[in-house]
Amino acid sequence: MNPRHILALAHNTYRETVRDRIFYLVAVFGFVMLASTAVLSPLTVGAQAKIMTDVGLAAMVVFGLLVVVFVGSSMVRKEMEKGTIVTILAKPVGRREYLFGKFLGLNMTLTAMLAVMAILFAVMLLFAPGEFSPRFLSAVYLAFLELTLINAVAVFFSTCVSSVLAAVFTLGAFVVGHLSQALREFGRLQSGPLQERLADAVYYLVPNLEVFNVRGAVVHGDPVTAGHLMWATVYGVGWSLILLILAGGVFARKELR
Amino acid sequence: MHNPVNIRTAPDQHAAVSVVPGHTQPADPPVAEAMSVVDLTKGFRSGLLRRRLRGIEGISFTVKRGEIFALLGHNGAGKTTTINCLLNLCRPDAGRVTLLGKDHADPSARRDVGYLPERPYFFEHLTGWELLRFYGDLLDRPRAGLDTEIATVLARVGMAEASNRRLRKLSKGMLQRLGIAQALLGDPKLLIMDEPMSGLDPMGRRDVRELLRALRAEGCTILLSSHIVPDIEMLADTVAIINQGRVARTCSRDEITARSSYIVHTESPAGGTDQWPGWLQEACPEQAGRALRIAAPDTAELRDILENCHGSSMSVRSVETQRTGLEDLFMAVQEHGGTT
Amino acid sequence: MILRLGRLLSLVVLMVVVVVSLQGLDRETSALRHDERLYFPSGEFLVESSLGFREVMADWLWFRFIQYYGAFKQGGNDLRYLGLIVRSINRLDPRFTEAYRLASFIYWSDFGQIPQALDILRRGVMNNPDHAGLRFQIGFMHYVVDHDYPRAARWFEMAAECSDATDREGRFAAFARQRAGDDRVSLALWSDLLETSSSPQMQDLAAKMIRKLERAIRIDKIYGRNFVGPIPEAF
Repeated sequence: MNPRHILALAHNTYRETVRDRIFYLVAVFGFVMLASTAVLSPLTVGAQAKIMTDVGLAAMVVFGLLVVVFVGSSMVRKEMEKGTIVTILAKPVGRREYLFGKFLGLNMTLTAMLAVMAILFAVMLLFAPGEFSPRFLSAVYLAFLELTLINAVAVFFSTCVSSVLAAVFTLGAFVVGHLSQALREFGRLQSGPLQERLADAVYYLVPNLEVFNVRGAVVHGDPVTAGHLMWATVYGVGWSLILLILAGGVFARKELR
Repeated sequence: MHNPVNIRTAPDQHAAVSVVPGHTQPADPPVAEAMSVVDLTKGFRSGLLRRRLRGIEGISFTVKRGEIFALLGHNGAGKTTTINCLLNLCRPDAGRVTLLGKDHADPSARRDVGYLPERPYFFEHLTGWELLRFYGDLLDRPRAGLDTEIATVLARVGMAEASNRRLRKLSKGMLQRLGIAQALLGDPKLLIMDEPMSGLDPMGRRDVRELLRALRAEGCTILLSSHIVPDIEMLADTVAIINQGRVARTCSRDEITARSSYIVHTESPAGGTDQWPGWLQEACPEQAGRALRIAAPDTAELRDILENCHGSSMSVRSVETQRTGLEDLFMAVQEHGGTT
Repeated sequence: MILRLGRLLSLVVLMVVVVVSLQGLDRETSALRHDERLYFPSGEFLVESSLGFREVMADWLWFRFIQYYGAFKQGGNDLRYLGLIVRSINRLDPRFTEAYRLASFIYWSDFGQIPQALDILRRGVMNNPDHAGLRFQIGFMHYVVDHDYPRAARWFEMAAECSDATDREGRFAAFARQRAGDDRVSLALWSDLLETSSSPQMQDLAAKMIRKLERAIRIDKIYGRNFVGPIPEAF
């Protein structure tokens, strides 16, 4: 794979999302969400710092998810429908390079978004009866990994189905990813070994997004170990690569016109 | 449009070509054909029952280096499908395609190929300059001279002044010019253009024709697809007429050049046909009463007939001119179908 | 111009229609509001349906809880769903300690249901073994409600051992021990406070209490517990 091609595609994708108004709307809306916790402070009754931190960390994931679902799931499909993909792939660019470049571009957008929101979050906490702790950065980093994985899911579905279906399936993957632990436990409560094996299969074959959720822990002051960060990174990157490879396989056979 | 900077030094397909001052690309190994297409076949499936629709079948042709080769056909004949298969945008069911000696499925085969799609659609959020910079990166053009290259191709298509405008603000004609510019980027040896005149006004169409002639003179090979006969008549060295997904006929330059033939309307001399002058008997005119219609395939024959009529004291009522050319060939193919 | 005026007028009319219909809907639904509804079955359901946003869901429920209690104080409801809401918050975020404390306080002060109040706090202690405030509140309830000073003292001492304990827990433990008649234990607690506290006021208080307890212990030793007085000046 040619790094220059990938970086050019990534940079173009990043530029497209930044110049697309949706990015500004999401950033503004995120800021409004954070600011609103200050307005609700009379109702917090001593839990203001906790609530602001919960809302701030959750908002980062929610708005990142919105960008991935609405932008990522239509990225490839929109270019196929409009025909912009044709002039790109008529150049000496491989299809896998194209997919990886688009994926990386949206990741660059997510990085920029999370960075802006983290800075806003830190500033909000400075004015709140709480304080910004370095362990919050662990939560932001793991949120980024989670969104990276969902981005790979969105890219995969966007090569297979229409934009609307890709968005629905991506959201579905987010839901199942957060329920896979519960499904596994449910399977273990069943009497038959088949149900247990099936539940285990779902657990291992579906990305478990709960491993990236340390928001509760950091809010209550628990440290996030280096081991957890390392394994989560390996898990997130591993799953993303699997999905991108699968997407590349589907896309290689896709009729573009 | 003018070409203020000569991009190519000589129309020598084997010579090193210089795009950026001081930068020389290594010469390619000699390849006789720019493009070879053998038995290209592509079908489509549609609907719930996945009914097979005919796309193209058994398309074969060869494009020589340095010529303009045209694909002519009505809408839906299979021109765009053929081009999509050439560029691996859709996978053919059968057949073999080489571009500049390389298999078409190899991405590196497209390094020296420029492509203008039928309805070019680019990223609206970019300016013309940014778009060409993006494509320049995809073509691995040297960064040092990329800005100069971009300026050159933009000037060549007359888009130099509009290069900093967002694409969403450009007209259809300007987008078409920009599409041509991106196809010219990287100094391609082979240009594939699907309906290059689309969206252009008459002056724009003239400019594009002149550009294509200039590119041919510089040694570039051009494959263009169109359903507009006059454009092809003016440009193409070879034409493949595509009908119902097959190559119905391939014509050379001589065959497609419009020719005039004539019909001389006159009266027969007195007496029966056995008393006609020898030249008149050999001419075998059509006779309706005393009116005669004598066919002359070219101007030389016409001159001879007129002289003979004068010499035989036969009055010439009128001379009718008939033009035959590519359009006639095309219409004949449409009406009678068939392939060669 | 007329067309534009017409469009403006129709917009205004439609806005009025919308406002009036909303007022009508408010009147209709207010009749139903005395019937409280809580549209989720349990905290377990919310944990699974929150999709990783458990803490935010707990915060949202907390806001609703505060409003619910506020409405109760104004006579708007009878807090029948208090237990469900609190259990749901606890299930969503077991370490949200304010929820245990406020709910316990409500059960105690508004309903006089001391066992329920203590149960909630004990549940909080199980989920937050190192939180001083919850243990302190249990001790406080035993001290004020039951007057069970030995038990209160034990809870205060456990609170004082937590990593987030302040001088308050130690102070109350010492007072409780003294009220329970355990002067020596109380003395030990005050001595510990004197050594560990960084607050000058606390150190002064501790020193004063140590002198007082030492005097009481000496009197007790020499004269016995049932001695009435007067105490000689030497003591």
